[in-house]
Amino acid sequence: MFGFTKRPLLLIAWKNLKTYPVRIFLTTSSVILGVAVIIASSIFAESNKNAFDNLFSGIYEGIDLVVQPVQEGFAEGFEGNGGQGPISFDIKKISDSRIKEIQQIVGVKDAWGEVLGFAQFIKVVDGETVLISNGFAPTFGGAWDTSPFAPQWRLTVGNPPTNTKEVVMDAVTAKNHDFTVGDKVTILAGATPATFTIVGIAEFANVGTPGGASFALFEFRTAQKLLDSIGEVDLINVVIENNADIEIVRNLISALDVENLNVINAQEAAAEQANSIKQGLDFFNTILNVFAGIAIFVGAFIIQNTFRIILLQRTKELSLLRALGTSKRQIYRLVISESLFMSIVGSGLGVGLGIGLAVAVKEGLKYFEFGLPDGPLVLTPSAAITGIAIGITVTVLSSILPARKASQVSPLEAIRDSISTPKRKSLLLRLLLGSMVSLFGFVTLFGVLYEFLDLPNLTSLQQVGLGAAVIFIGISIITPSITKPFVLLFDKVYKLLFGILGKLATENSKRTPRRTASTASALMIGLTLISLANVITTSFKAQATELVEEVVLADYQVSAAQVFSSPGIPTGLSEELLALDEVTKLSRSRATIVGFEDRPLILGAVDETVFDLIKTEDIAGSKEAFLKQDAIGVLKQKAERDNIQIGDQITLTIPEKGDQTFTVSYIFDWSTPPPAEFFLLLNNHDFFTNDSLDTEIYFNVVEKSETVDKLINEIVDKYPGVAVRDQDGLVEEANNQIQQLLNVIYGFLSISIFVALFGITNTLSLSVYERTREIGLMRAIGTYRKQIRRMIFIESSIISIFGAFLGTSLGIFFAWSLIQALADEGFSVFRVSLSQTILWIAIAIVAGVIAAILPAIKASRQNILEAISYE
Amino acid sequence: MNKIISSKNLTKTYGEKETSVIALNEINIEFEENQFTAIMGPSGSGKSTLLHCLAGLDRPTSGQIFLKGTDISTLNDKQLTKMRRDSFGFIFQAFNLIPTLTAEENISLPASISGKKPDQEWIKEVVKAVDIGDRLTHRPNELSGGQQQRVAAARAMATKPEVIFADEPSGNLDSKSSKELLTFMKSVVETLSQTIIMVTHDPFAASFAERVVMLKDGKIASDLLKPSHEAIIAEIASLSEV
Repeated sequence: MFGFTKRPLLLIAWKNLKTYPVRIFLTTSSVILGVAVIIASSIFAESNKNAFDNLFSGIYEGIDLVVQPVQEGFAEGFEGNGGQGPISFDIKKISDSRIKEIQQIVGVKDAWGEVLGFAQFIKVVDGETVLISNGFAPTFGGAWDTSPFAPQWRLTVGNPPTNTKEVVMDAVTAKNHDFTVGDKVTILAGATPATFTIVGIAEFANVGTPGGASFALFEFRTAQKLLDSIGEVDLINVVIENNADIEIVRNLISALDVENLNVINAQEAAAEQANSIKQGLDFFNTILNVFAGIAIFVGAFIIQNTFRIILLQRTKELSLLRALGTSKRQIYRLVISESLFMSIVGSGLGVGLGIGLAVAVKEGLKYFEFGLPDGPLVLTPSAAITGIAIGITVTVLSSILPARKASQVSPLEAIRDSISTPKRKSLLLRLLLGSMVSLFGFVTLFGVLYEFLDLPNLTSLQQVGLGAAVIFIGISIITPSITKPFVLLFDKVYKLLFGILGKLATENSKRTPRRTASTASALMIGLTLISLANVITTSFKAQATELVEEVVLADYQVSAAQVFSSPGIPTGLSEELLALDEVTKLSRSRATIVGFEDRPLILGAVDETVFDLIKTEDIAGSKEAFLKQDAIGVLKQKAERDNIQIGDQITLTIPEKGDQTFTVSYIFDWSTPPPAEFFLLLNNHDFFTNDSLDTEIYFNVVEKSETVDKLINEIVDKYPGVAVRDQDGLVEEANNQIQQLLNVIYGFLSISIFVALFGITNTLSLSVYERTREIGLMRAIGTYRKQIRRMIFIESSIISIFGAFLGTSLGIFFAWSLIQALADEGFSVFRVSLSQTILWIAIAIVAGVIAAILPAIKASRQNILEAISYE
Repeated sequence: MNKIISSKNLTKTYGEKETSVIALNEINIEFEENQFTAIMGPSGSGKSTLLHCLAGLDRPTSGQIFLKGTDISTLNDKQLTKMRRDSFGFIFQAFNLIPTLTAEENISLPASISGKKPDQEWIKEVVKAVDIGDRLTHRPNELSGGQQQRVAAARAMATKPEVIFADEPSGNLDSKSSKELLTFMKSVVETLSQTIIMVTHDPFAASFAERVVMLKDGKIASDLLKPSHEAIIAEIASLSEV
């Protein structure tokens, strides 16, 4: 019996797919990756949104109203401060007497105060002080909530703190650093560290601790004392009676002190906070989607190439089908149905891989103790469908052109014994079109930089970005036309290096310029972005270095080890340093909050020596005048903004002193992030010396040496939470932050390089297939397998060098343009790291060679007889 | 005259057990140095298989092949490749040349891949003999079929090989080019002391050879010395009658 099938073409399609699983994998690899990134990012974002929703309803769970001090106008006081300097928790507070007043208001069930400040757990390991924190999260101290209605912290073990020597630790820190009830722990809160007994471990809402921060929870009065809030609280939580109207109670509380109290609805606040976090996550999500888009875009190139290969390899089969009477349309449908099938498989696998990726990212973050809220991973059906739809659409669209070409195959092809090579079309049109597009891009881009073209509705940065994108598209169009001239550059060198194999490899890359170019383009995209990121960060680093070297004249700087986790430098440190013979010059800076025109203001105080240790610039007045008792110095920016002149009288409200009037005697520019905007001379005013902390210390030594380093470190080590850095250390710290950002970007971009590798593999496979006879002939006349492999590797290196060269050049150029566009924001340094650039080009070449391994092995194993036989 | 290459009980089968086909059946043959030999036979007689085995392009199923006393059937792929490169020259029916290389580069290709400097004097002599001196910088697609085969012949001789193997070298050529090529091949055996083993089914081509070996069903059917064109045709006819 002969089998009869109603759908013979579908059967053929199915048999093909079944026979060549590796082929399917190669084709779909890029779809799989792209879809995986989309799915992973969506899972990640969605799950975090959910968890944060839970967290914020957790924070305010059971609370109806929150009473905060009015901080209006306060932000303005910080302008130009650079975000550094005195401790931001030293802000307006509410007197704790308000708690009682609120409790007595009709409709209020209970009210309790919250105190929040910096407290740092300290552990001594092998004689060395170790600051305890959960990754980069801040370290907080607070008051144990005394109300039975306070729902946030729940004890998992032990009891609440009842005296000045007891503390409750958050569950995450306790788990990470092996603390249990009964342990002693040293805590730095305020100027001096003290030892406490852990009486309980508590969990916050359902996440252990908010944002991964470490928490030391003290008895209420102790917290007030330690966290610089004697007689005060940071906010008051209110629970109302079941039958009370929330708005009425709110107004009643507000009426206590309309000007200074801000009463908010807790649930609204929860929604608002959750929302702002969500926006942050959305941004992260957008970035992930951009990378997914790049992966898909690069993937489309590769799918198209792969289909060409497969179809070329099947030319005989297809033409036999044609000879047997299959119509062109049927062939077309055959190919499309195959691609549809592959896209479904690929997208499906992509979803699976995406889930795996999301789990990996989550676990990875956990490993770094990032403390993201726990919760199940959520994959919404719509996200899955979107991912799959994109995968299928891109794959099928990419197969349309190859399918059309395949359907044009002549029925005679089956009888003829030759392997058709692609016909050469003129590349002139491409060159013209590409040049035009690029020209538009260049005009747009240079229009901003040289101020001759300003597109409406675009910021200059956006216009540069648009120009860069258009140039990129233009160059992509041109690439096939410049393949030959580019490869010509290799001719001589490669011939010299690799002899006849080099010659053959260069000739082969010239043979199909379109294919060489489109393969190189896939790599070009990745390298453009990588070198863009690379040059931008190198430039930023150089800028930071230049800044530090230019403005910090001191040998050493002492400051808080972590900006957000430590309140300042105990004053004893500067005294000890000064006592050293090796220390020649030392300057301290301090800050305190004073009132100025009914607004809070940070008032700085410095030693006279600061002008020798930090670069400052005289704008008006003189340093000598600044040294007088009633003199005040003003920062240039502040003076310009508020139009302050030399000789102006400024009245400040000093806590516990009352109003004092100063004469503006010196206006100057402070080049590092200044600790304040108004300055006094430290020794002139005793209100800075009472129970205070230094914000920064700068000092010089006779001569820097290892002995001096050791001496200084010994002193500084006695003060936990404080770090000393020399100039190199400062530069390194600035650079580390930039480098961390760069590493994240590299991580994402390497996905696109990975996808491009599949493209190189496919292109070389095709190239090898087309040259079956040639390679067979070479083998017949005595070429070693090793030599054949080498030839393929050389060819691959040409493609990757081409892609890497184009990508790197574009990336560097785009980076230059962006920095030019940012000149107004104070960016002036453009620097290319030669070693990094070479490193990435080398990585691209190595990657290209790795991608060539499979085709090379295949080529070297070519059966000679099959290649040369004609019978 | 010395024998240069010989086979002992050379057998080649294709396929497994029941479906196996015997292409060569215990062939014992010797080839003389400095002789032009043609191997003939109908389709499926095993003539190409014999050439492939002798030339180290295919491996015998059993039996041995000796090149000047060395048993080449025991060599590994690398040794075989080196032997093909240094001791043999090849002219195939078609696709003899690398399309991206010029005629000159194709001629010196075996020398180039061995990393040795080609013997310039010798190559000049060969190029002069094949009469393509004015086409040296051209690529294969700019050459006629006859010119391409002559370039291939020049390449085959460029390394002064022990034996040149030719597989239907004139198969794709018109009669004029065909005659030119074969005349040239005959002349290089005489004037440049080359050894050529050629497979052909064309009695006219075979008539240029000094010795004609006829194969049938994987066995040697006849071995003729200096046969005339007519004698070859008669022999073929007598073979096909049985």
